[in-house]
Amino acid sequence: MTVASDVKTCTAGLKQAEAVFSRLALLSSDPEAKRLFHESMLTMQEIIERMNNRIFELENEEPQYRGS
Amino acid sequence: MTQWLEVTIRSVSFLTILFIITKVIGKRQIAQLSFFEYIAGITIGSIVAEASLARERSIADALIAIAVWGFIPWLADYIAMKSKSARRTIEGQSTVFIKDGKILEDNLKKEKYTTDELLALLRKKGIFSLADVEYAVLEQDGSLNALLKKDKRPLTRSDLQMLPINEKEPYTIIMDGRLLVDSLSKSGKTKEWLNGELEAAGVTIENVFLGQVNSYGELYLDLFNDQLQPPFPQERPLLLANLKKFAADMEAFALATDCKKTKKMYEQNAADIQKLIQQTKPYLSN
Repeated sequence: MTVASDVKTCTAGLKQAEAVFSRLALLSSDPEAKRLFHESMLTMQEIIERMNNRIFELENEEPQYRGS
Repeated sequence: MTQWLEVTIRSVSFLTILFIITKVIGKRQIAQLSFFEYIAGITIGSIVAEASLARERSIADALIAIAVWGFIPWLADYIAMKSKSARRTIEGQSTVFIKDGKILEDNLKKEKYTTDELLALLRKKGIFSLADVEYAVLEQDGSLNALLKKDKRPLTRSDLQMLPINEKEPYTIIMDGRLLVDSLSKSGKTKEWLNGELEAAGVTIENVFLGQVNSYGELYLDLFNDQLQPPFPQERPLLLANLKKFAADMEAFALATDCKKTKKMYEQNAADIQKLIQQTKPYLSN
């Protein structure tokens, strides 16, 4: 396992968590819970964005791991 | 007319009249909150019993009596609703039995309650030690309500200084294998959503005895076949566990890298996820 593949696995997990937050935001009936889940989803998006940038850097540094 | 037929007709017609009167006066008649409802309940019952059996009595007399006994409680309720002072006379007032943890003997005597009866009423509320009670009041309908001392009350979230959270009421959307369309629309969910959830649980709607959807849109199912255990959604606790794992991952990445900028990015991610865990924990733990 390389760092690049670890980072990619983690990012995939983050995306899944973002999807769960988004689902909970849609399905919850309490407005406060809805708001919190929605904000959490946005925070997750920011984190995923930063991780994606890092993946881009890693792939440029070590082209042999591209796509792995 | 034969005897049995007349009794049957009288009984059925008076039952119908009683039913209508109870609907008009409302739930108050059943709860018997005030003196008038209590006494009217008993009297109307006796009148109907007499009128159904005694064939020599005229039906008109019975109807007049029922009308009077039905009208007076209704009038009393109406006056009580309009005026506070009339309310005090008609419905009575509550009496304080225990104040500042001390029994008020004079009030007990005024209401003709013995100490044994007071203790029995407290026991009905699950209170066995007088030392636990701060305040107790006898309501108009004869029931006792007690306020426990602060340190004897059940522990709440606010006692633990936890973040306040709120949950909405669950909706029962499937009953006896049938969809309750009204409840489903009240819960704000669609039929497509329900079909998806049922498919995920691997059951058809006919096999479901009871289905409830909670505040988070999770569906709890009870099946006709008790051998089968449908899965209860574990999405939220799983998400919390995953978030904790991501925070640990981020810290590991931060340690593994030498680049200062990258280290900082991972550390910020870890901090963001930690904050997220703190905020959403009350909603995500079952």
